[in-house]
Amino acid sequence: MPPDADNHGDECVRRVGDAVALTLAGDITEIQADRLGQTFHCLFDDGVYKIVLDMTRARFISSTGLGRIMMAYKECSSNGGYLRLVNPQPLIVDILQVTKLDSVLEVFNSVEEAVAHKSS
Amino acid sequence: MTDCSSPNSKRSREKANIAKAALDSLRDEISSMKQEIARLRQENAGLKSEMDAHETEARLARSAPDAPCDEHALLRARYDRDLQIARQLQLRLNPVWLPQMPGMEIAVKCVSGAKASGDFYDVIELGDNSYGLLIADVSGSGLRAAVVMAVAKLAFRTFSANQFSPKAILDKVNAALCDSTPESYYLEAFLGVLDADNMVLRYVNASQPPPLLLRDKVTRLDGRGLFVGMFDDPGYEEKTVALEFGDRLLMLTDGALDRFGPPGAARDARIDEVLTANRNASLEDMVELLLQVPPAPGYFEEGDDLTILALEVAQSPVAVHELSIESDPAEIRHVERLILGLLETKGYGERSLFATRLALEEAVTNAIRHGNKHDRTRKVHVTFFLEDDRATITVADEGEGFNPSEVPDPRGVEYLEREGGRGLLLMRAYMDEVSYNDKGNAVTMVKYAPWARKKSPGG
Repeated sequence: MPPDADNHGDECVRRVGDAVALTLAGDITEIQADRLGQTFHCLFDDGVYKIVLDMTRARFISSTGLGRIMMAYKECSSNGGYLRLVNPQPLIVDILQVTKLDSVLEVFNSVEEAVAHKSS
Repeated sequence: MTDCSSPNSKRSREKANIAKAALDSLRDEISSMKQEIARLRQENAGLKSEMDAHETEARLARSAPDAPCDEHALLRARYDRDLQIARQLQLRLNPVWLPQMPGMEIAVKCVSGAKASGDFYDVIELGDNSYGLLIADVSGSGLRAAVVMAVAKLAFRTFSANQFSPKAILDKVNAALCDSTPESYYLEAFLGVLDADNMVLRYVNASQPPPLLLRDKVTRLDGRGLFVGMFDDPGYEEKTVALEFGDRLLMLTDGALDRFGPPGAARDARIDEVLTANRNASLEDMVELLLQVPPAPGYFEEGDDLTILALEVAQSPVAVHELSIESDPAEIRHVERLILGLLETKGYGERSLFATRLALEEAVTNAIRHGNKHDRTRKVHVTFFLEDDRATITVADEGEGFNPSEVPDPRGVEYLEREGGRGLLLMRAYMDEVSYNDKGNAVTMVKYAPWARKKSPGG
């Protein structure tokens, strides 16, 4: 899977109940991660700490991308919210396992399921 | 971005000089060929009018079967003389000298048959360690076929200048021949362009019997494409195959194949059997063997030209690529395109490509961020070796270096939720070998080919 020029890791934001669902697409590497970081900060400025990341269309993620997600995860957790993942592709699930982030980040099959889930 | 032609690299400079010299000699050759074409055109025109005269005589002879015997004898003598000219022309056109292709062995046999049926071959040095491999068979026989052959052969040489795509070359040759040869004269041709740095063969098959690629078994390199010199839109399809150490590529014309019987599955099976049974014979012996197979009874006719052009990958190809980029994350994609593109051609699958891309992304990002500290005047140097069973990538920066053993395991409880520190872990997890130089500013990573030993998740 060589990098694709048209793959800018576009994001799409929508409100689902009291949470915000963020759709990630394409490659989440150095360049795209910066924009993702800005998006997270905009949400925090608005007081949004319940975030669901829809990973269905994400093809690739680097440690920088993971770093931004962990930054947001900590921010959400320490403000009484959550950051949850939806439907990451198998190659990305592998990365979560290798880095043991699968023990921290909860994964769901759909945005609705992720939002409806009650924290234990 | 700078690539292999970067003036910083001695190897690149040498390579550029060699390529330039090759190009210059090709230019000389082309200009002498242009003269040769002009000369042949004249000769062709002369021959044509002579042949038309012969045909008139022959028609007359046919319409007057009771013509005196000495007329027949005269025609016969002229026909014989023409054939002799045709054979001489054919012999003269075959290369007297074949370029040395590093790591490749070559064997060739071209027997001009009694009918002089228009077989020819060529090995054309294209520069940049790339070579054009051509085998062709002109329709018909005799003097006309030989003249068409001469024109075609020179057209291939002319249009392969500065051109590495067999389809682009064939398209031009086809257009030129459509314009310049008499109707109903055309040729079957196979044209491959071998990139000997990467051992990749790009090819187009314009209705030649498909060449045989002998590995453990025999594969036929077929593809779409009509005869050359006949149609405005011959629909040539360019294909690519990655060659491996020990591969043999055998290009045979009809005349050589016909010994094995009429075209079809039975003939293919018979050829495959001979090739696999003699896998250990030398390349030259294998060519001889193919020419000495007892001809299939009731089908094979003596008199056709026989041509076999055979190549063997005699050395494990080691391709080295060097690339230097500015300390800008946007430049990473150039490195990824080059390396992943070559790996994909070589046959690495999706998981291996994903793993290599991830490791590259991490290594280059580290070099930019921690090594060069985002200083745009400092560069990141990437070296890439591709061997049969592995790809080796070195990423070096111009920084002070670091001690990788001081980087904590990011999977530890106290580090798990940190934002950074996972790059090295991912490189080690997704590549088969990862090591640093003493200074700590260059990392070397190895990815085994999917067909070699598997270890990492991207295996």
